[in-house]
Amino acid sequence: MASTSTSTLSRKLILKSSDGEKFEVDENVAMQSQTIKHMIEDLDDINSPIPVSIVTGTILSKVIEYCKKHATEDSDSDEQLKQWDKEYANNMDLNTLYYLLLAANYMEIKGLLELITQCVADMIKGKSPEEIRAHFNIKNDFTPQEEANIRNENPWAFEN
Amino acid sequence: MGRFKDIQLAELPDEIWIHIMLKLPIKPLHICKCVSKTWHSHVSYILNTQKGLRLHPYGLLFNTVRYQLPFGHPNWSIDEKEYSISYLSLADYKSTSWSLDGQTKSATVDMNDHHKDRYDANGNGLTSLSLGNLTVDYGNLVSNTMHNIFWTIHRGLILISSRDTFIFHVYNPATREKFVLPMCPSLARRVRGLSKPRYCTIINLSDYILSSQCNFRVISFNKELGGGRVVAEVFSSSKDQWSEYEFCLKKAVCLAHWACEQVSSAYSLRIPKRVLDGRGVLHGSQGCLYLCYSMLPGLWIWKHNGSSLDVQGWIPQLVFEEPGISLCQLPVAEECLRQFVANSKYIAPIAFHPEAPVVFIYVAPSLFAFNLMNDTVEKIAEIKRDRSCNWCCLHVLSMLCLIGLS
Repeated sequence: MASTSTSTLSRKLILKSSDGEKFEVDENVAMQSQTIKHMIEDLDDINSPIPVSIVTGTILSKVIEYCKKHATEDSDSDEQLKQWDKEYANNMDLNTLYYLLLAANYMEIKGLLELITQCVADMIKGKSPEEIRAHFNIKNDFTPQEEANIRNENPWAFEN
Repeated sequence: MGRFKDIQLAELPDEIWIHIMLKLPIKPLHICKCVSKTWHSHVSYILNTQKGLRLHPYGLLFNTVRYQLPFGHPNWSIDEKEYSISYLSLADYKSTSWSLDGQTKSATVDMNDHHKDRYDANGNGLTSLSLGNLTVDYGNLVSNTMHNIFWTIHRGLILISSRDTFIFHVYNPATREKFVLPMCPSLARRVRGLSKPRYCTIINLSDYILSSQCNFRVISFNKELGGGRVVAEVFSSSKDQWSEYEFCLKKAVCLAHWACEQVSSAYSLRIPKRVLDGRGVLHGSQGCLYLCYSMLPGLWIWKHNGSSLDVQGWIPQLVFEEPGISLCQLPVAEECLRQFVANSKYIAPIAFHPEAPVVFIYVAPSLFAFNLMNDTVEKIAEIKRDRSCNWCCLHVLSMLCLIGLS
């Protein structure tokens, strides 16, 4: 049993993105994704590429970058890892964040999902409804009266 | 070009948006409600459906004690009474109550029609609202209330201490987590003549509305009887220990370095000396401490934002003394208080809104909300007597913010 687990750690997996790009990664890196973990359990031939059907190569490389950093636990302190996470998230544009969120959700990578959702939540914080709409390009489908009613439900939330 | 790309973030699946919004504090969450209809439904979902908690996140929790006979009746007995707990939502003024039988864990009880009266400057009532049913799941908290003292509630965390040992418990009704704090040093040393904690409050510093990792401070003031000394103690959940400060009563209470790791401000405060001997309640709200103190027929409310070291750090918010000396420009609030006093009503400030400058004042049998910022007074509920009992009084009341969880 012990020998199997050692060999598990050193095994390589091949992930295949939706646009056909292939990535060779250590199994412990890929196993941070619950979805891939379950796929491996069902898979007979470990050497065939594992399809990550809705994730493009560009995004998958970013996901793998995150997983690699978090797979090697001992190298960095918690502080350093947090700092790395912060820089990682701050370097993404809204477009990338969107696809990363979808990927993290689909691949079930809890840490990445937490990181990116927090990053988007931080964008919402401190903004007025108008600023939020402009930032995320959301259409206001309330009538002025409806919007006024909602504001009046919790007027303190709109005071500075 | 950037704008074109932004469209996609708005089109994320609902579950991901909800995941994002779960990370927001309550104020931005309410702001999200009026962004769009879709966002409104996400926020409503978060506020209403988290794990069986069907209460609005902001409300008041209070004990009522109902005596079988009116106080002063020849056969009146202190033993013939019933306790119940009620929850009044501040969003829709719906209230729920349930009785304490030592086993109750959840209950659905309807409350009688209450009226929500809004007073304008001339004292004219404006609107009314009727109420329905709510279901409350309150874990073991309900059955334990007879043995515990409710102190206060801040942003979803309830501070309770045992009646016998004064050991503090912090309860999160949303996650049903309970933290038992170590015994505070003054009690651990069993300082002779130390009375029960006089002023206690909890400040919840957790950033996420649904944070599973609570970050809070418990602040407790004790007066050492006979010694003329005051002990101030602060518990930090991140350090998991108490810090203790001791002061001479003559110098008033000074609590230095109430340090919050992230908010790098050092709070220090002295409590106005007169308050130490009377009845008062300490509340945390919007990063400030509020001290409410009433001594018939007066009412004093001070605010402390932690920026000053001396007694001047307490800024009067509402000061009312007969015949009506007010230090602040709140004519409506002042006029209301003057009427209560004229009618010989007992005024008791009982709770503070955790995220708005609103103080809740109990004037039997009604509850009023005084907004200290825009000077409005609202009557939000009436504690109704039912047919089976003749007398009822409001015993303890706390501000409650029930928040969901994941």
